[in-house]
Amino acid sequence: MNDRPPEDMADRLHTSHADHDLLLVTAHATGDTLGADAQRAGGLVADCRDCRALAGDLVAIAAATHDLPAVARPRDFTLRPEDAARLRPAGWRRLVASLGAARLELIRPVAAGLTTLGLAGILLAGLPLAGGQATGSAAGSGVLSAGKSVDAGSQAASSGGVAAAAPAASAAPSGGTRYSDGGSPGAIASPSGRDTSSEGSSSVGGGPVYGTVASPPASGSDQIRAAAGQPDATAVPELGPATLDKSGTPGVNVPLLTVSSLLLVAGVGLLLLGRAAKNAGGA
Amino acid sequence: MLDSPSLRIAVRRDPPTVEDLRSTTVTDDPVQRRDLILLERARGGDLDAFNDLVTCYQDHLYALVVRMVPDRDQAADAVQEAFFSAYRNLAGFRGGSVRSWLSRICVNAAMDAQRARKRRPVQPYPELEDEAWQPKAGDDADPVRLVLTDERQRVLTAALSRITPDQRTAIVLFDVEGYDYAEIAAMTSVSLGTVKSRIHRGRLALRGLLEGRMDLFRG
Repeated sequence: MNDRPPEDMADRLHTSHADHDLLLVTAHATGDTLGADAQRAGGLVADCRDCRALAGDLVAIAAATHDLPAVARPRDFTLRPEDAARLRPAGWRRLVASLGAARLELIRPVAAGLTTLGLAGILLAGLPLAGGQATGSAAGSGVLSAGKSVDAGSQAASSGGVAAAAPAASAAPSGGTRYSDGGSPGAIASPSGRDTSSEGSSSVGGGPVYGTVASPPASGSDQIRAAAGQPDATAVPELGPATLDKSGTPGVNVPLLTVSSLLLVAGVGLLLLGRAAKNAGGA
Repeated sequence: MLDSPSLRIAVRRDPPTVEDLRSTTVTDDPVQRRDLILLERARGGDLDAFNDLVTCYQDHLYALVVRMVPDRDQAADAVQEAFFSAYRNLAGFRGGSVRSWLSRICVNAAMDAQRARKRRPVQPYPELEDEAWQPKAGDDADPVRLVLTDERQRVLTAALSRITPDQRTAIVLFDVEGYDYAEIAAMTSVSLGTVKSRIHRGRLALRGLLEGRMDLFRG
């Protein structure tokens, strides 16, 4: 079998040189083609005069580039003692330099991990708050509140209240609205219209929040107090302005938030330190 | 190699103790061994040891950078800055070839200089007209051949200065300095495929720029 294409095909290859893959020919001239590419490039070089000339020119250019003479150095680049003194790292730069490039490889994943953990922790810690601000739209937090509010409901019932576990649970999803900030009127309601946690105190969470209609069976604040672990679920409420609880961040897991924030700060700090060490190295 | 002037600089000092080499890998290559000894001493605060390294490699590194940054003043500044950076970052040396480490720092400095040049364009390559290339041919060289060689080098250098900095860097490192693809990829922090692509495209661009002068290069 004849390896060469027929005459008319060679002519076609020649006449359509503009359509040939010149980069492939270049790669072939550099010796970077394998398998099918090498065959294709070889065919182009063999059958197209311009491709053949191109390949020859590229080899000649590479050889000429290799033979370019060195250029005379215009000055001496040795360091003077004053240069060395100036360049020697001092203060925090010395600390950063002591990290060394090898340790940077370890710092990056650790920093990324800490940052991720911190962000995830903050998100987790903020979920109940987010549910509360979403006015009952966050089903997950509503379910959580409902589950926890069963105890509160039974406590309210045992203390002579009219609230039962079932209504308490059904009220739980909307209980989140009771913890919106002071700007949300009617956000907090208690069985008798007053939240006992606000007795004699000013609002912690940004001003007093006035309850709307006192609905005894709902016992919403009791449920949430119970969920937050507050002991005064059986206290007799009064009608009046209601406030957020004393932590000011109801529904937020404060320890988790604190730890997550610390992790985030540590992670970001390590990332910045690693970047500073890399920049100080300059290599 | 063993009787090279650069090696004499190194061996005139006391031999290192074993502790001197604790953070480096001892190799059989005498040049690399010499470099590691000098580097270790420089890490210990011996400026002369660092300057011995500078003396060994400044010609090579300037020749490398001046091909990437055709303005000679900027190239010299880039090399000086690279040596400053190397001194500042002696602790960052992670073993291997000192020459490659210095080359990598110089390539970074050269690329910074090229970026700065792009931001603040100056008179385009006036130094290309000057004839201070070295080494000159001997007296016995054929004058016609000498003229042709000079002309070929001049047009090739001019063409090199007109392709993109990335392509120029890759071509200089591959064709002039003889580094392989993997080394160039490590030096320029790009993938192997990108290095190949830059070399191929750069060569193709050079051929386009030299199209009318290819007679200088053929035979």
